[in-house]
Formats: sequence, C-alpha cells, structure tokens
Amino acid sequence: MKRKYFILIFLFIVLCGAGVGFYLFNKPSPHASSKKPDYTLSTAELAKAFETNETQANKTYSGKVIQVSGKVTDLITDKQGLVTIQIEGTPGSSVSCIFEKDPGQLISKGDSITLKGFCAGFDDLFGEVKMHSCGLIK
Amino acid sequence: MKRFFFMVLALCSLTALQAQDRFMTRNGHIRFYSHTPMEDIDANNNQVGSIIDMKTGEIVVSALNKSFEFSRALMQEHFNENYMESDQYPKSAFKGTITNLQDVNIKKDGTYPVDVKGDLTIHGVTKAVLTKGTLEVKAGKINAVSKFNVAPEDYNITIPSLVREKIAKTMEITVDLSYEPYTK
Repeated sequence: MKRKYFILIFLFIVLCGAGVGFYLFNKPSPHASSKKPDYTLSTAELAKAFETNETQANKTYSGKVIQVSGKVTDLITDKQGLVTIQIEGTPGSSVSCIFEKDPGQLISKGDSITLKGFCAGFDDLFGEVKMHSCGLIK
Repeated sequence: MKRFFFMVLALCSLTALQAQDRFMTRNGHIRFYSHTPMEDIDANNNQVGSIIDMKTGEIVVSALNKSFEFSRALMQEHFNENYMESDQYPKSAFKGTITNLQDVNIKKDGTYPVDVKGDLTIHGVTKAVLTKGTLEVKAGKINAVSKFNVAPEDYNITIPSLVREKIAKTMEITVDLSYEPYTK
C-alpha cells in the first residue's frame, strides 16, 4: 500500500518537472511592455552613456528593459508595417526605437514621448542606440 | 550679387547630385533560419543599418546581435549568451562592393541581379564572402535582397554535441534592405 503511494507521488513529481520543462522551453520571448523597467532615464542620458563609454554602457543597459523619455525627430514605417521612432539624444547620436505593434496613438515629430523597450546596444553606423519590442507609455 | 546667388545655387545642386549616389536604411531586415528535422529556429532583426553608394558600389551593413528577436525566450538567451556571445561581440557587420555595378542603372526602374563581394564579421571573426542578390530600383528608391548560407563553425561558434542535432550545419540568412536617398 505504502509503495503504491510512493509510486504515485514519484509519477506526480516527474510529470510536474516535465511540465515545467516544457513550459520553460516554449516560453515566448518576453514583451518589454509587460516588464518593470530596470532603468528609467532620458534619451539624452542614454545616448551620452554610450558615447562616453560604449563597453560600460553595454554592460549596464544592453538586454535590459529601459524606460526613456525624449523628443521625436522622425517616424518611419517599414514595409512590414513596423513603426520606428527616432528620438533625440545628443548632437552626435540618437535613440532608435522599433515598436512591436502600432504605438496606438498619433505621434508627430517634435512630440515628447516616454516609452519602454529592450536596449540592444549602440550602432556606430548612424550613431544610434537601438531599442526593440517597444511600447508607448505616454 | 547675382553671380553669388548662382554660385550658391550651383553648389547646392552639386551637393544634391552627390547625395543621390548614397542610399541608406536604418530599419533593414535580416532573418536567419536554421532547419533540422528536430527543430526549426528563426530570428528576425528589423533594425539593420546600411549604406550603399551607387557610384562606387560600396555597401556597409551593420546589425546588433541583441536586436534579433526569437519566438522563444530560451532560444534568444542561448543565441546571445552561448553562441554569439553578444556581450563580447555586440555587432555583426558586412563591408563589401557590388562587382557588376555597370549592369545597374539607378536612373531606370527595374530589377538588377548583382554580385557582391566583401568581408562578413560575426562573433569577432572576419571572413571573405561572395554572394548574389538583386537590387530593385523603383521611384528613386532601392530595395536590396540577398539570401546566403553561413556555417556557425566558420565563425568559431561551437555548438555543444547535446544540441548539435537541433541546429543546422548552415544557417540561411535572408537580407532585405529598403534604401532611401541618404539624408543626414
């Protein structure tokens, strides 16, 4: 009798383990919009950090969820319909944010906005800090 | 005064002409796809930066590894931490030239096959590559498309034997860049 219980409990544990494993394996990529930001700062501060010391800034911000605020300098919609918003950083570099879905409200050049997204690092080709999977906050 | 005005005008039109040789994109698309009977893996980067100079045929393409988005969180983590080591090598880049530029007429709408030669840098390793692609010229804009294969082992990316069966020996890379005239 005792042995039967033991087997049942064992099976239960194995099933739980497999379930957790399966869940973790198939877990979708996280959306930045549903996560708490690791850092909150202005786009000027973010761009400055990468300009001053890229290695250090990569260590701090890359792969993290960050919330930034700044002034919109350009809006681009690509052929897949993804929206990229360019935000003013320093005179030498900007912050480029791609949205996972339409930002949902009308944004124009010159607007001050706050958004949240994953920071991917700095691309020196155009001097841009890149952020993806972004969601508009205001 | 009049002469000065014309000089300014001439200078302006000259720079405008020069500017037309160069095209850029900051939201180009690179997809990589690995197919094995056990598993398909694909990732997309929609933030690829590139400049193409239609006078010299030079092309530069720059992609941040952490901009690649996977459908599964675990794959993205493995890609950045175990394989690409993105903290150490944040960027992948291509620098090259179109070798048959004489066959492309950017003043005429059309689709032109091109040969591209250059250096591909991934995971800190630079290799000479040759590939084919097409340039589609339409209303003063250029859309560049290319598809080629890359073997992780060529770029010192070691894949543990435990997962070797799940990751293809060569990855299929699709590049799709929509260029606009260079402004900046």
